[in-house]
Amino acid sequence: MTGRELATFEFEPRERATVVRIRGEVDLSNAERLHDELSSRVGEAPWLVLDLSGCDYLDSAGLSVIVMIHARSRARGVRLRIVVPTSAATVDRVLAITGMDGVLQVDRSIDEALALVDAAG
Amino acid sequence: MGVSVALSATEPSPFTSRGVPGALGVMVSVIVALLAGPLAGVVVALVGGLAFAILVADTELGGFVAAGVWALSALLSGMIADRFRAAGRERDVAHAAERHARQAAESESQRLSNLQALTARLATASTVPEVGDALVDSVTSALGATAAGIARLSADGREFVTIVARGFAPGLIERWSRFPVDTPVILADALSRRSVVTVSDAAEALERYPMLATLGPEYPLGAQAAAPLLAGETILGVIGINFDRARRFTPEDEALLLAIGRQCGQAIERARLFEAERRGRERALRLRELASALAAASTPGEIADIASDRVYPLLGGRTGIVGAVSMDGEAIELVSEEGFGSEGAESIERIPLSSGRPEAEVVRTDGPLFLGSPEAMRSRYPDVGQPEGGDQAWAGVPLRASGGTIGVLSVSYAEAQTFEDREIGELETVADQLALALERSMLQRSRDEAVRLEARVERVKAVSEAMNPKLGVYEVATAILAEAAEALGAAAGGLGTVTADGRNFEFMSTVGVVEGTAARVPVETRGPNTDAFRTGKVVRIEHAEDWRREYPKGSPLLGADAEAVLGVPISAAGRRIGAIGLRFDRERSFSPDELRFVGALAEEAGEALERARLFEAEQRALKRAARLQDVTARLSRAVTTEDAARAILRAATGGGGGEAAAIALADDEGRSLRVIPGQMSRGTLRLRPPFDLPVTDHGALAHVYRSGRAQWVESEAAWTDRFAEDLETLRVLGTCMYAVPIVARGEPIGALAVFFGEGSPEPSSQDAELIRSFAQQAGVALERARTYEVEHEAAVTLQRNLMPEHLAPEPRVEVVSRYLPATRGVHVGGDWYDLVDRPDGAVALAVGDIAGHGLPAAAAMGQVRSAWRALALSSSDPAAILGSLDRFAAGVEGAFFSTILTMLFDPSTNELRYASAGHPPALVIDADRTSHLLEGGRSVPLGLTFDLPRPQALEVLMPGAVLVLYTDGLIERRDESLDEGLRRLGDAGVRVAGAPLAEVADALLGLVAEDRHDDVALLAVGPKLPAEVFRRIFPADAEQLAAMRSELRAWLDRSGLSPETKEDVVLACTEAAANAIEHAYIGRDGDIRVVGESENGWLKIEVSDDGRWRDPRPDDSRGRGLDLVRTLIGDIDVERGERGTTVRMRVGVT
Repeated sequence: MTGRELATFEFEPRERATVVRIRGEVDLSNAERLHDELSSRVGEAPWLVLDLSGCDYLDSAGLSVIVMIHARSRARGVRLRIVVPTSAATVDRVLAITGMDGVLQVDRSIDEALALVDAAG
Repeated sequence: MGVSVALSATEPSPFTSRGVPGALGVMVSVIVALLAGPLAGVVVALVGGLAFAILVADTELGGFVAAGVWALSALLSGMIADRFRAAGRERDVAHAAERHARQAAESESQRLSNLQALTARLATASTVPEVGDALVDSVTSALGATAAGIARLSADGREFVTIVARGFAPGLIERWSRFPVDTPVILADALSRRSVVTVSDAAEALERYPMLATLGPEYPLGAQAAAPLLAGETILGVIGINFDRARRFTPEDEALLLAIGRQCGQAIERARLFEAERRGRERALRLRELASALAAASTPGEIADIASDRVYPLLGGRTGIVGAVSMDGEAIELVSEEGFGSEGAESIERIPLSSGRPEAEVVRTDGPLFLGSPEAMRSRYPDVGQPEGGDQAWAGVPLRASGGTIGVLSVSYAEAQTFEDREIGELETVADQLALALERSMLQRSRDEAVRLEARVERVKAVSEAMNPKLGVYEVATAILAEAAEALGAAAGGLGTVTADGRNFEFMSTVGVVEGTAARVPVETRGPNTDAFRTGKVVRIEHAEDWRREYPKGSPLLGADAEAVLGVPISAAGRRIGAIGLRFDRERSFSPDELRFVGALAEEAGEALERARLFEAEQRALKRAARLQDVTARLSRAVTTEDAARAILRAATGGGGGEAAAIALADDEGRSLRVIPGQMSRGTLRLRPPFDLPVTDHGALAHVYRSGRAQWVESEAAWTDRFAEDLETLRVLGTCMYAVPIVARGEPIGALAVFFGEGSPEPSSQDAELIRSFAQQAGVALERARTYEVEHEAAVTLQRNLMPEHLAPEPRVEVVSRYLPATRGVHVGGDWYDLVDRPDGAVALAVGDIAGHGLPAAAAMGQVRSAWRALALSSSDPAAILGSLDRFAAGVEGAFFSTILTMLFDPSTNELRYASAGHPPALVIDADRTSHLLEGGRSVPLGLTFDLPRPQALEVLMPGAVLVLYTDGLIERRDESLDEGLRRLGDAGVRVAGAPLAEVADALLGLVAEDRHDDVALLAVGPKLPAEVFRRIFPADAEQLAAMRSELRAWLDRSGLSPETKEDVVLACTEAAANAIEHAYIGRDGDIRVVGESENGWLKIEVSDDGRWRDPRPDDSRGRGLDLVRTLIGDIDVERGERGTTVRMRVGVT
């Protein structure tokens, strides 16, 4: 591994939603870190938006994290949205194969997700 | 006085003895005569003389002479003295008389000056008290009185009213402040006699006025005097004077008193006149001030202030009221009051005209009322005046303005009054001014109100005109209701319209009502809104008791309690469409202006609602048309039943349709229905798993299919009622369902159901029509699809059997094949490709295109292909193969005019022999990134020439070259020539030169138009790659996974896998490796091994470790991971052992 991070997690706290941008690859090596960083932010705002537009790789390790965050959000009354554009092919595929795309609230673009946040009033 | 000196003689001298006594005797006699008179003197002289004569003179004559002298001198001197004395006495008398006269004159002048002084003082006395003071002073000083007072006659002449009293004890003064004129005292006498009456002393006083004895010791009992106060001939009162001792009253005293009385009387008269004049002037001034103040007053509040500051003081009453007749003309409303206190003021806040109060009578009779005395008050208004502190008089005057009697002014007085012209005139003047001011203020108020309401109406008009016609009915209703409620100060309200079926009344907007109040009620319900709508008349309730009487059960929207209510109907285009209802929490009357205003709003509402409604209806119609168009378009493109079903379901649920829909299709035998449900979720239609129903099912869908009639199920209850046995799978789609049959060629083939949420209304006739249109379209499309499917299915089955999807892995060359069926129409079955390994090591290749479509084509294709295989195995001469095929094709129906390109390739020499029967040229992509077409060996399609030799060509392929065979679907485009297509193909080939074979195939396929009539078959052949092996060993550490992935990707890039499959492999490997990392070596180090091999068109990968695995726990994410792998890679095999675990995966490359 070079000094470069496998994935970066960028947090953008907004008024009504915390937007998290995940760029790079998420696997067993950094899934736990992702979980810790995300779970501490559940409850910051009424909405939590995970933007996986820049996520190049996601397997069951990352998916488990998302599932756990999903459960945590539900428990806290935070609404969770996952942004998976069709360009994020691997993520899209993993969600489709595992059927998680029916359980999670998936949007095709960050704009779509944010529009939902604003419209909720 | 005569003095006679008798000198007693002493012996010595005769003279002395005689002379001295003699002289002495003379002296003594003279003195006595002087003192006591001549007679006394003479007597003394004679006696003395005799004595002398005898004794001294020895009776000498001389002695008698001396005695005689003595007597004579005494007599003389006595007489002289007497004369002097008399004269003196006369002088004394004269002096005394003079003194008396002088004294009299002095006292006269004193009296005169007193009188003058009094007169002078009286002349300057301008008030009665001043007169009184002047008098009392004068009287006490002039006559020495102890006490004095003045009493005037009361207006009725029956009482004395004391106006001044001095020198009396205060208690006495108080008791005698007012007393009847017939009281037996001196004053009464003076009055009745019209003259001065005097009493000289206490005894006389008591004798004449025995009553004085009852007055107690304080009363100064002594001389008294009383004099009438006269002004001309009029007696105004009396003066009374008391002395503490006896006194004699001279006529002058009496005259003085009379004069004083007259002076005082005149002065009092003058003072009164002066006072009256002054008061009059003052009143005139105050009236003027009042007039100008009232002229400036513009509100009732200002008028009330002026009443308090000026009117009541001016009129001098104890209490006062200014009231204005209320707008409804039924009561007098208080504008201002004085002297009532807070409780009293409350009781007169609103005086109904029917009440017994005198103010009400004044207004009713429109005439003034004057009650000058307690008797008058008691007789007519026993309740008025007495409780208010014993008023003695009352006056009430109507306030008249151009509109009639608009109010009343009333005053009550502490004293009885004679209401003379002056007082009446004053009251009427004040009343006039008040009336003017009140009228002005009322006009101003109603003008202001009218202006305000007018402005509001204007605003509403402007707003509704500017209102975007796109505003919906709800927005219009809310805007108008808010305006009405605010303008009138309503506490709550609602605006509703009648529903299309005329049966219900629906509230479009409400304000101030309790949550959960029904939004929709039957139109017959009693309530201000619904009543106004039904009757078309304004519902107007201004008192709580009227509300209770009219609406004992309250109203559904406005509630049970109300103090005042207004309901106004709304009409549009001559038709009643709804109503506005407002509730107020205070009793109130509605002014004509306000009613007009609400009426104007209702009109606006009617127009705007109608506009909005029309617009909405238009929009809905447009939407419906659009939906119908959409579904028609989609359906025309739909090929398969699934396409058609999707299109219908999308149409039925999209754009405002239901939340879900389902299509039920009967199978061929008509024994069961296949139900395909679809649900809208996040803007996309998701098909749910289809299920089957027996046609005899008791459920709603089957019922509709069987009966051929539409069905509306409006609620859970209705559903349970009629179709109790419906499957839950159906009911979860929605609580309400509208289902129509789908008919094709006159026969029912299924049903279409649209689902709505709970409480939805039955679809309108237009919406139902739309759904029926969908069903109709569906019928047509499904029928078409079925036909296609039947055919297609057969063709596809055939084709699949004839041409497997994957060619068997080829040991001598790398081969990648692609087949794309046509998207349009039922044009399927003609294209084919094939490859044969010959025993001599050469590879025969062919691609062909059978003209025609459908089953016959597929069948022909199968035959031609089989024929070619047989020929290719033995013949090394492509032209000869074609010749044989010619003959063969002649015998196969549908093979006529088909094309074929046949090739023979020798991998050891790279020689390629080929011949084309009317088929597009093969493409060669060289390793140096050039491409060219193999255009030799061309001849006509099959079945046309017999026994004519066909040409063939030879090409030597460069190492690394890729050969592409294809059917014309790849290069044909409607709008361009074949040459252009070929050129495009060549360019594309150059672009992908050097890429793995699969990539080349995919890239070329990308040339194909989306929308194609033809199938496309493609065969790409390239040199066999050496079996490459991927091998990596790394420590069991998650950090290693990323590097493994990137290297694996690089190796897979050369494998010819599609991008999706590559990623799947990467995923699967990572999961397997991650598994091993997590489970294989607990507590110790170890390695993971990944080995990949590409062989014979298969990619094999192994992930292994040397550890001893734990079994994954059910909730372990690793369990999920392994499931994922299994889904990704069908061919997977896990071998677990004591000494390690190996996961083997295999994917086909082609």
